[in-house]
Amino acid sequence: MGKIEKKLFRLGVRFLLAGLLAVVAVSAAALLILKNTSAHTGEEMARQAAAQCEKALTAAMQEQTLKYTEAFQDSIENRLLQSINMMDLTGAEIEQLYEDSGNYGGSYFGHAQEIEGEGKQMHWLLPEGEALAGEIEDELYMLGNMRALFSQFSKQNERVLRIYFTSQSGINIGYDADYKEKPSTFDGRESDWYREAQEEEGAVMSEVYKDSFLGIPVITFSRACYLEDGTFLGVLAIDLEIRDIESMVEEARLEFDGYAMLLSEDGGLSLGEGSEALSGDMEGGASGIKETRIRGKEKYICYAEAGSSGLRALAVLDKDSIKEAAANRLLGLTQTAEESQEKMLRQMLAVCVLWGAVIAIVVMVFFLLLKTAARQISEPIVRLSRKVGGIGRGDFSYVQDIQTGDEIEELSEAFERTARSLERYVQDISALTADRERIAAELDVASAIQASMLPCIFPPFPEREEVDIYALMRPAREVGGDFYDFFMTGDKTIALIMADVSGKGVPAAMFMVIAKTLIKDNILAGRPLSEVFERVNDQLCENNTEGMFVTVFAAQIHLETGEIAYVNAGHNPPAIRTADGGLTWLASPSGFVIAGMGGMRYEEGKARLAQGDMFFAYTDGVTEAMSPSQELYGEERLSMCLEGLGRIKSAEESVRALNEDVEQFCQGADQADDITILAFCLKSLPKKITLLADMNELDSMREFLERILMKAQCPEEEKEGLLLAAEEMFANVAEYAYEETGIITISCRTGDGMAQICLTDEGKPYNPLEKEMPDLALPVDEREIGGLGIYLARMLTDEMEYSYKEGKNILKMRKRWRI
Amino acid sequence: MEITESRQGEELTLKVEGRIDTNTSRQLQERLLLAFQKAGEIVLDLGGTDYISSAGLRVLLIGAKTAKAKQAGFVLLHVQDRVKGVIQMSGFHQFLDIRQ
Repeated sequence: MGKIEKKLFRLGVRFLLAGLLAVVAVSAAALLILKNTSAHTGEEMARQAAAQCEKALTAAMQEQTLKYTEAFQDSIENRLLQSINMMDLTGAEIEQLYEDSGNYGGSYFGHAQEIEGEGKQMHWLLPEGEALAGEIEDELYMLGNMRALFSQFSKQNERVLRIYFTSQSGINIGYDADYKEKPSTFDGRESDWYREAQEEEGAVMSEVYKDSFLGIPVITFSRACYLEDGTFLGVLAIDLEIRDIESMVEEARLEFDGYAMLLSEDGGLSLGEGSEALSGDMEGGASGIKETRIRGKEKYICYAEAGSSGLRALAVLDKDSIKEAAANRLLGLTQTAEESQEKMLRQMLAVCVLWGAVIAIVVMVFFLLLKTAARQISEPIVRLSRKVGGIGRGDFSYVQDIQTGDEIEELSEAFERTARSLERYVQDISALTADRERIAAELDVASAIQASMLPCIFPPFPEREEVDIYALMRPAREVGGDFYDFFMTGDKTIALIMADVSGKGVPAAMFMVIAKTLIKDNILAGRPLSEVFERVNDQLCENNTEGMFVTVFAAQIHLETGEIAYVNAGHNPPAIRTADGGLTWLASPSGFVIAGMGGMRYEEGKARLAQGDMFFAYTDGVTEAMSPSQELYGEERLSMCLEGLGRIKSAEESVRALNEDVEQFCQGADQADDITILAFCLKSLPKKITLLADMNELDSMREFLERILMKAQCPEEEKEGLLLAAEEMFANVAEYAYEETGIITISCRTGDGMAQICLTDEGKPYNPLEKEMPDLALPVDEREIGGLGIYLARMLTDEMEYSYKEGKNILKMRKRWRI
Repeated sequence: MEITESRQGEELTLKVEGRIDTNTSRQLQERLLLAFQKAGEIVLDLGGTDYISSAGLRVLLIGAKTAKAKQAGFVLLHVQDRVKGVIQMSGFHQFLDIRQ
C-alpha cells in the first residue's frame, strides 16, 4: 500500500469510525432508555395490579362467600323447616282430632311414672291438683289417639328427641324416652314455649339450650293449635336435637382461614367460634359484609339475610390471609413482569447482535470500497513516483501514459518534458566528461610511467651491504619535472643524479624523460662526468625550441674509498652530514644549467664520503616550500634539520625525517613545486664467520668477535657483555637447533659507538625472546638449573631482535657505548 | 681453565684460573662434586676468573644445592667484579656465600 493510499485509507477509516461511534452511541442510548422504561413500566404495572388484585380478590371472595353463606343458611333452614313442617302436620292432626272428638274413642296410655319398657313411649302428666277424671280423662284418652302419629313422627325424624302437647286444660302428653325421670305432676302452660306459641302466629323457636335429661343442645319449636272457629286448644312442641347442625357449622371450612357461624335473630342460637360476641350485632338488615375483630384478628364477616326460621348464617374470613394470598398473587405477577422484562432484554440483545452484524458488514463493505477508492487515487501517484524515481536513477525514457485527466496527468506531462531536457543535457555533459576523463586517464598513465622511470625499490642493491640509499619524490601535480636516479656504474662505483626540469606538467615530464635517458646513457658509456654534461647539454640544446632547461647534479662515488666526483649544473648544492653532526655543502664548482645554451663547459668537483657520513641531494622544492604565511623553508632550516638528525640513522630514516620537517613547516599549504630528496650513506661491511654449531667452535667465535670489537674500540665492559651474550646464544643454537649437526653464521658490524652481532642458523624455528624470564627471587632449592643463558644475554645487550626468514633463524644483538 | 686443589683439614679449596664457560664448566662441575665427597667445607677461589657464563652459574647452583643437601659448607672466595656482576644479575648472590 502506498503512503497516499494509506493516508486516504486512514482518513476514510476515521470518518467511518466517527460515524459508527455516533450510531452505536445513539443506539446504545436508545436501548438503555427503552430498557429502563420497560423495567419501570413493568414494576408500575405489577404494583397497580397488586393493588387491584387485593381489592378484586376481596370483592370476589366476599361475593362468593355471601353466596355460600346464603346457600349454607338455606340448607340449615331446610332441615329445620322439615321438622317444623312435620310439627305443623302433627298440629293439624291434633286440631282435626279435637274437631272430630266425637268420632274418636279413647285410647289408653299411662302416666309417665307408670310406664314400663324401653325406648320412646307415649305418656301423660297432669298439673298438680288435677285428677284423671271427668272431661279431663276423656280429653286425655282422646289425645291418646296421637300415639301412632307421634311415634311415626319420632321415627321419621331422629333429631326429634321428644314431641309433646299441652292442652289449654293443662293435659300434658308426650312421646319420648325420658318418662321415668319425669316429675309426677307437670303444668306445661307455665312454660315459655307455651306462652310464646300462644302469643305468636306460626312456629316459635326457642334458644338453644341444654336438654335437662340428655345434656345435649336442643331447640324447642312450638305451635299453638286452634279449632276452626278459633278456639285455642293448646300448644304442640318438639324438642329438636341440633347436634348435626352444630357439626355442620363447625365443619364448614372456607378459603382464607374462613369458617361458618350460625346466629338466630333473637340471639338465642349462636354457633361457631366467636359467635357469641356477635350475636347482638346482627339485628335486621339484608345480607352484607362487616369488618370486625375476633380474638385480636381482623376478620371479614359475610352474612346472609335472615331466613324464615330467623337464622342467619355467617362466613368469617381472615383479612391477613386474603392479604397474603393477594401478596402471593402479586409475587406471581411480579415474577411474570420480570420474566417479560427478561424476555424483552433478550430480544434487545438479539437486536444488538443483529445491529452489530449489520455494522460489521457495512464496515467491511466500506473498507473494500475505501481501499479501492484509495488505490484509484494513489495508484497514478505511485506510478508517477516510480517513473520519476527512474529519472533520478538516470533512466530518461519517461513516457507520459497517465490518463487521470487531473493535475497528476499534468504533472506527469511536465515530468516528461523535464526528462527530455535532462536527457539532452546529460548527453552533452557525458560527451564533455568523456573528453576530460580521457585526458585525466592519460595523465595518470603518464604519471605512472614517470614514477616507474625512477628507481623506487629499496634497498635497490640488496647484495651490496655497504650501500644504504633512499629517495622520494612528491610531485606537485600529476606529472612533475623533478627526477632522481642512481645506478651502479661498475663493481665499485655508483652514480647519483638529482635534477629539476624547468616548468611543470606534461611538457616538463617529457623533457625530463629525454634528459634522464641521455644522462644515464652517457654515464653508462663510461665517460667522465664533465664530458657527460657537455654532451647532454649539446644534445638537448639541438631541438629545444620551447626554451626548456634542466638543473642537474650528478656524482659518482667509489664504494671502497668513498671518493666522490661530481658536476653541478645550476642545481641546489648537496650536503654531506658527517658522523659528528657537521655539514659540508658541495657548492662549487657550479656550472650553467643544461639545455640553456650549447657549447657550455662543466667542471668536475671532488669530495670524500667517510663511513657513517650521509650524503643529501634535493631539489628547490625543499628550500622553496612555503608555509601558510608565505614563508620559505630555506637553506637555514635545511641545515638545522640535517644537523639535528641526531645519532646516525639509515638513509630512509634521514629522508623521511627531512620530508616530515618540510611537511610540518608547510602545515598543509598548497605544494607549489615537486619535492625530491635523496640520501646516500656508505656503511662498513660486516665481518662474517661461519662455524659448525658445536661447543668446540666456541673459542673460534670468541676470537673472531674479540678482534672486531677491539678494532672498533669497544670498551672492555661492553665487549665482555657482548661476548658472554654471544656465547649464551651460540650455546643455545649448538644445543637445541639441530637434530645432529649444522652450521651457524656469526656476523658483526661496528661503527659509531655501536656493535651488532647477528647469529644465523638453519635449524628448527625457535624464538628465544619468547622464553620466560627466570624468577630471581626464588630460594636455592626452587631455582631451576638452566634457563639463565637467554636471560643473561638480554640483560647484557641493549636490543635483541629475532626473525625467521627463508628457513633461517636470525638473531640480532646490539650494544652501544659512549665514544 | 686450570683448577688446583688444596686441603687444610676439613676445608678443601678449589682454585680456578681462567674462564668458566659452557665448555670448561663441565670440568668444574665434576671437580666440585668430587670435592663435596671428599670434604665438608668447600671453598671455590675465583680470584683467577674474570668470566663466567650461565653454564658456570649452573655449576655454582649445583654446588649450592649439593652443599645444602649434604649440610656442607660452600664458600666463594675472591670473586672478581665482572663475575660478581653476573652472579648478581642472576640473583644467585641471595644464596651463595661470597667472601673476600
